[in-house]
Amino acid sequence: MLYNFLEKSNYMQTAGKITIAAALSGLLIFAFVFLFNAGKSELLRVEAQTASTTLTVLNTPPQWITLAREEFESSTSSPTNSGRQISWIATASNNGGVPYYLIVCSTVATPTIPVSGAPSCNGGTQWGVSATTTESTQARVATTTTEVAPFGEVNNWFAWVCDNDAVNPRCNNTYSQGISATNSSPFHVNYRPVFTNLSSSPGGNPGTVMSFFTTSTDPDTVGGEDTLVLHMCYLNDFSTTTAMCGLGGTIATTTVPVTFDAGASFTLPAVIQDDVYDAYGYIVDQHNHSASGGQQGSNVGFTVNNVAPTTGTISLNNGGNIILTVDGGQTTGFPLTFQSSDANSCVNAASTSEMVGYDLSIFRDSIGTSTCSTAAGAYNPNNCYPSGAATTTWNLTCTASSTSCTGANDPTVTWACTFPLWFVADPTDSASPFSGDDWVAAVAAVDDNNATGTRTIGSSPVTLVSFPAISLITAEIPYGSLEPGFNTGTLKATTTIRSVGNTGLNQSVDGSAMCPGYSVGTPCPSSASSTIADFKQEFATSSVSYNSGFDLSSTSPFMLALKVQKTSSTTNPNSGVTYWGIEVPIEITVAGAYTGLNTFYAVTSSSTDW
Amino acid sequence: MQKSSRFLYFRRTLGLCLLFFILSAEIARAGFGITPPYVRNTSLTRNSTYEQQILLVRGNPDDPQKAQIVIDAPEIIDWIEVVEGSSIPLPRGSQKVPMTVRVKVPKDADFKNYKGIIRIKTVPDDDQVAAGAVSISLGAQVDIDLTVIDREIKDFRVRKIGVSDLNEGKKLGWLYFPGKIKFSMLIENTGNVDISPSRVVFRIFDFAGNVLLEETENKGKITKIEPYATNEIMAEIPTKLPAGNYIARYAIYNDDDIKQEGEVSLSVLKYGTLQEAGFGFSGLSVPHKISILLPIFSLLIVILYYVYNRRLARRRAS
Repeated sequence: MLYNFLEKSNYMQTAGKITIAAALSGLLIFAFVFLFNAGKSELLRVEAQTASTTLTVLNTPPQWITLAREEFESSTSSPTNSGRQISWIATASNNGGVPYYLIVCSTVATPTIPVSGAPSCNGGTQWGVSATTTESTQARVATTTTEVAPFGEVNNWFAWVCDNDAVNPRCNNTYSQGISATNSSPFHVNYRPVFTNLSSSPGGNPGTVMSFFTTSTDPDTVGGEDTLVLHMCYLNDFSTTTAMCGLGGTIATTTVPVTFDAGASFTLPAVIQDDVYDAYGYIVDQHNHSASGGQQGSNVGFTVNNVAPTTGTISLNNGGNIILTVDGGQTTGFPLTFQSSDANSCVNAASTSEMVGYDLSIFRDSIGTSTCSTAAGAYNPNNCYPSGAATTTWNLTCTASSTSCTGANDPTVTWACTFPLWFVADPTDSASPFSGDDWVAAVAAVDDNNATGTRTIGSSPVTLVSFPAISLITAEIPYGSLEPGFNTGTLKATTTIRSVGNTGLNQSVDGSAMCPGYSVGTPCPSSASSTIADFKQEFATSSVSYNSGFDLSSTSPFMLALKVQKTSSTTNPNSGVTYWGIEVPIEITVAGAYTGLNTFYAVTSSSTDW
Repeated sequence: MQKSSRFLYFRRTLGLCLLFFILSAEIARAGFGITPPYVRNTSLTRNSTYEQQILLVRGNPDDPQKAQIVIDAPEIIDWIEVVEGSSIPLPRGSQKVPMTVRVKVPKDADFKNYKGIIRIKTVPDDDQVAAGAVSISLGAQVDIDLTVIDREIKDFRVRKIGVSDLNEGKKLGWLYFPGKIKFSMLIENTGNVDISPSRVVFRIFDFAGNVLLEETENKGKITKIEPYATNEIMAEIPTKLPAGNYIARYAIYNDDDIKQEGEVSLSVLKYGTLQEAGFGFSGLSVPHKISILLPIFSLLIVILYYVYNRRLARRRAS
């Protein structure tokens, strides 16, 4: 080495000599290091590095034990519903027990990994990276899917394992895309259906089909459009987990899934109260992914119409013949029972009676329901008793049985009525002119909406029995006064019978002889002087001369054809007059009050005389 | 002249007496009637008995009376009997009193029509009538019209029907015991032999009456009703329908004739709702019956065969 002594004379003169300052400096440094043990570790490391340079061991990347796969299948047939997690799992080993990461990316580029920290995808979308995972244990990556980018309907994925080496972290260059068809890339995101409109068919009658309509589509296209199902629930309790209505129950469900505008129908129960019912609609696709927003869960409701009630079994007078037992008046207490049924149940939504009334008439059947309507004007005591008549005219009383209606599922209620009939009610037995007829009841029930059913005529008509009944204006025959040997000249005394039953009448007559001491148990003696023989009385239908009438007999009643027509008025019975005459024999010598008893028998006249 | 004068006095006196009862005539409003006014039967047979009840009706029952009965039917007087006798009390307050006419047709009665009359007369219970007057009592006439025939008439009239709620059927193992519809019928035998409906058919529809769900008919015999009687009888009809409300269209048959048909509501309740027994073995279907009987008969045959063989072996041994 050559030095320029001229230029660096100073340096040259001190070169190789230790100055006092340098010595002190060295001493101080030595004391510092000695006292504080400074640089111990650094010096040792330096020693190790110094050793590794001789044993260069490179970190090796983790090795797959189990390739990454979708934890749960996410495929065309089983996509991951949006909002749900897509997850992957894998297991890797790593030398030295260093933990590892599982990272899932959308591209095939190997992830980058910093010296410290988790790896990241090298481009594309990083679907997720696991937490550091102890080697040889399962790592899991999950991310929640959405319906916006970066999630698409189909999403590729590539999974790597990278270790957590502090010096030289590495990723295994071999990626995984699953190990079987059901857990391999890509994963699929199932979008929710779009549900924009919900409606129901107009009100339906019980037992008819009720339909629900929607405007609904599904945005998914891969593998074909998803089909849609509409669930209609009674309550707003649809479970997105089970894709079913909750405890409130299901009204209707789409039976054949469609790709748009799913609908559902159901048949209303045969018995259901007329009302507006809640109906909540829910659209789900074929992967049980429910719509969100729009009309999902809205209450469209449905209406059950009111229908008119019907009349079932009608029993008039318990099936027995109708027998009148009050002459000239009304026989009361005839029973009528009928069942009325309503498809809207026997109890309404307000828990009161659904069937609140009735229109009925009781009539001789050939009169017919047209003539014998239920209006008051149709009333005719002979053959038509309508419920529209005032109770002062016809006192029909009906009561619905308090026990026959057992609840909302029971459509039927039983009514029990009683009614009177006037004595003029037409008989229908074989001797009457109405023998081809019977008496029937025609009943229509009326519901709480004032809907009236069709009148139904009872299937068991009954006979109204003939009731010949007779009454008198006067209870005695007013002969007047006569001397022995004289007669009345003409039959001028009269008796009047009235027909107070329901038949035409003739009158059969017999009578006893007259005497002062007559009684029923003590007939008159055969005495010419004190007994007026029975045949001395004569009678006829007109005031003929004495000896032209019919002789009275105590043994052979004589049928006098009065031909009293059947009474048709309840206040003015038809009547017939009999004319009487008597002759007091000349042999009578005992003066006094003569007593006798004649009997008028009511005889049903020929039907042609009614 | 004196004699003539006395006679004139006597006539005046008698005339005054007659005039008295004219003035005492009173207004009578009470009436009397009977229902029905006949005893009629056109299908009597020899040795048969027929009864007809007739109500005696009074308009004013304030006074006690009695009804005197006279039968005027010479040809059949021996056949006819008024059960209550020839004098029937009509007590005070009794507005209607029944009277029963019994007809017993002798075994040698001619086959023909017989007619007659029964007269009913009301008189005061104490036999007393108003003194000095020709009183009027009321009565009525019952026509008798009987025909004895030599042929059987099988006919009836359905007077009333009813159906009660029932439990649905029950499955026990492989056996299904159907529910039992109890269909009551008030039947009047209008013929002259014992009779009951030959069958009762139910066609059960949904409640709207549109869809036929089941057609079924009664099982077992229906109680017969004696001639001229009216009784309520029951038909038991099986149904396999579940609980619900239905409309049933029924038909009651007399052999091939439908005597009555109509519609009834049918309410089938959940099993056990009513404390009523359903159908037993008789309600089972034929296959189910066979499934029970076949093993039993097979077992019996095996037992009999075993017993037979043992006896045979003993005989051989002895």
